[in-house]
Amino acid sequence: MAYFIQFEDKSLGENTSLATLAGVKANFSSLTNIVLTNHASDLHDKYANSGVKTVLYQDENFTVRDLAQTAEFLFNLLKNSNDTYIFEDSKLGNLVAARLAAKLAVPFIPSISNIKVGPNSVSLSREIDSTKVVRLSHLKGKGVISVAINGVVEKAKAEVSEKPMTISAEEPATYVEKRDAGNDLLFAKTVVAGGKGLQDAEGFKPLEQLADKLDASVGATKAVTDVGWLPVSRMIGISGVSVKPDIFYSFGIAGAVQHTTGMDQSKHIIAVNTDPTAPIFKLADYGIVGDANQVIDQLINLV
Amino acid sequence: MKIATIVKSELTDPKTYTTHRTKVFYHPEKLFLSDSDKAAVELAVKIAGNNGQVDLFTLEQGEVGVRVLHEALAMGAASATEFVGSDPNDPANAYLAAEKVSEYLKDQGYDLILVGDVVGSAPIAAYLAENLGFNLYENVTRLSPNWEYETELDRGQLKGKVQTPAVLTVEANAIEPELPSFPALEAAQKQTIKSVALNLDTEEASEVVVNQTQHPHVIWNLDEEPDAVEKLVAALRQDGIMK
Ligand SMILES: Cc1cc2nc3c(=O)[nH]c(=O)nc-3n(C[C@H](O)[C@H](O)[C@H](O)COP(=O)(O)OP(=O)(O)OC[C@H]3O[C@@H](n4cnc5c(N)ncnc54)[C@H](O)[C@@H]3O)c2cc1C
Repeated sequence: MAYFIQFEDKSLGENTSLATLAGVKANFSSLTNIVLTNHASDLHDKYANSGVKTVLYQDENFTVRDLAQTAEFLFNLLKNSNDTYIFEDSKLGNLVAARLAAKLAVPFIPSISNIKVGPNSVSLSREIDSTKVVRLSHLKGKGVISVAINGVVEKAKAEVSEKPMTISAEEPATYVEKRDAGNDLLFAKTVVAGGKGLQDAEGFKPLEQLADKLDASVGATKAVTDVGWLPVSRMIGISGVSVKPDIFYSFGIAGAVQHTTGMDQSKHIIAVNTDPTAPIFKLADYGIVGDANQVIDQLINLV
Repeated sequence: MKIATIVKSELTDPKTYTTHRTKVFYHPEKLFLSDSDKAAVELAVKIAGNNGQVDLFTLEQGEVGVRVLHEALAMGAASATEFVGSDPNDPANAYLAAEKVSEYLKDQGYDLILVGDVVGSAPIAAYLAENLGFNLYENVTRLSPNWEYETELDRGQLKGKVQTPAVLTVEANAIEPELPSFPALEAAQKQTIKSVALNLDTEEASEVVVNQTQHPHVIWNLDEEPDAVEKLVAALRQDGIMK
């Protein structure tokens, strides 16, 4: 049995992505999604379509600003079970995960990119920076992990229940948002980016549909934002934003260096272009030489 | 004020691990004191001032342990101790190591424990704070003289006031470390390093293995292979990139 633990604090932008939940679900057949929140009534629909049984713990005083109290609540909730507790590999996820593991006196294995669930243990791989090796750990009993894993969000019905939690209104810290916190492109785990090769503004509609399926954020080249097919906030590159998602899909993008400096740190790059000599292919883990619009349509149907 | 700083190395050179087929080769000569630990030591020395004391500890083993302690000693710390018998990068038994380290530090009167935040190392700060009953502040990017701190999150920062005794994890940009002088470096090389055996039960240790799912670079041609998109999706699923 495994629990995925996330936070929905309406006053903060540090929430977990549905794609991570989908990625975790693909690994654990028996999974419960635990959401600590201060606005449960807004969330029933979201999780009713997540395909994962969800329990919303509600208290209007809940805030992730109080890390100690958040960990204490989870400890009391989970101390008598003997399971795997999973958090997103984000700064907030890791902070709460470490505190929970310490309270439970169990291992905390962070930043996992690959999971294999065996009969007696869970095998976890963590990539070691930019080397060609991974650290492989085996969790035999109770433990806490954080994961950088993405899945495709299938819109399946799931049971959602709501329970009260009791949180005192103390706030030991204040929260200050970063200047560009509103731009989801900067924080996306998956980016689908389109270039001039998508032909016209219409070409971006299917891309947005694909983004929806992958819980991804849409990015673009300067050539695209210059002609107004997408707003400038979507521009990736030296004149725009730099992104470092787990997966970067590039459709109809040539791969000019002014663009690639903003995305070449992505963990996995997938490129589609009609020109087999397009520089973008040099960066690609996987690529397709062909019409991007056609590939996008097929992807929407396949994932 | 009595401060303990737990230091370690940081992997900055990908050639620290090289591979040949399924074999992994480790090159510890490429590992040095991490930038965030330099910031932690610098902060510790500044906070301790003339009347305080900064003691260094490490869970690094062998030549790496000695190297990072010498580097940190040159920055102005008073003493250095290596804990023998664990791996600071192994998350599987970090909680056991932290338990032993907490026992060792427990009655020594520390007000503050500083730990650099190193990507890829096994986190021990939360275990230390829990075992010692200290407050915990992580990802600290700023600490003012009146103890106001900032914790870095993905889209914002938490701001508050540190209550001691406390464990802090420190980011590399928290403070600009001063370069140690040549005489300080020389003196550090001569300083003795104390060894403390941890006697861990290492049954749960993790292993470093060759990554089998590294950047494949496969390009299909849609004209020649009409099922290229299906092949792409299958490959992404196979690699675990798409679940
Ligand atoms: C100072 C300066 C700063 C810049 N800053 C940025 C920046 O921050 N970000 C940025 O993106 N650019 C920037 N640029 C522009 C950059 O040099 C490129 O011109 C731009 O990135 C090209 O965008 P593109 O790949 O979408 O368009 P194009 O270069 O027009 O490439 C289109 C690609 O689509 C392919 N294609 C055509 N039809 C199809 C189809 N049906 N299916 C699939 N593929 C198809 C073509 O083969 C081609 O490779 C900057 C330039 C300068 C000089």
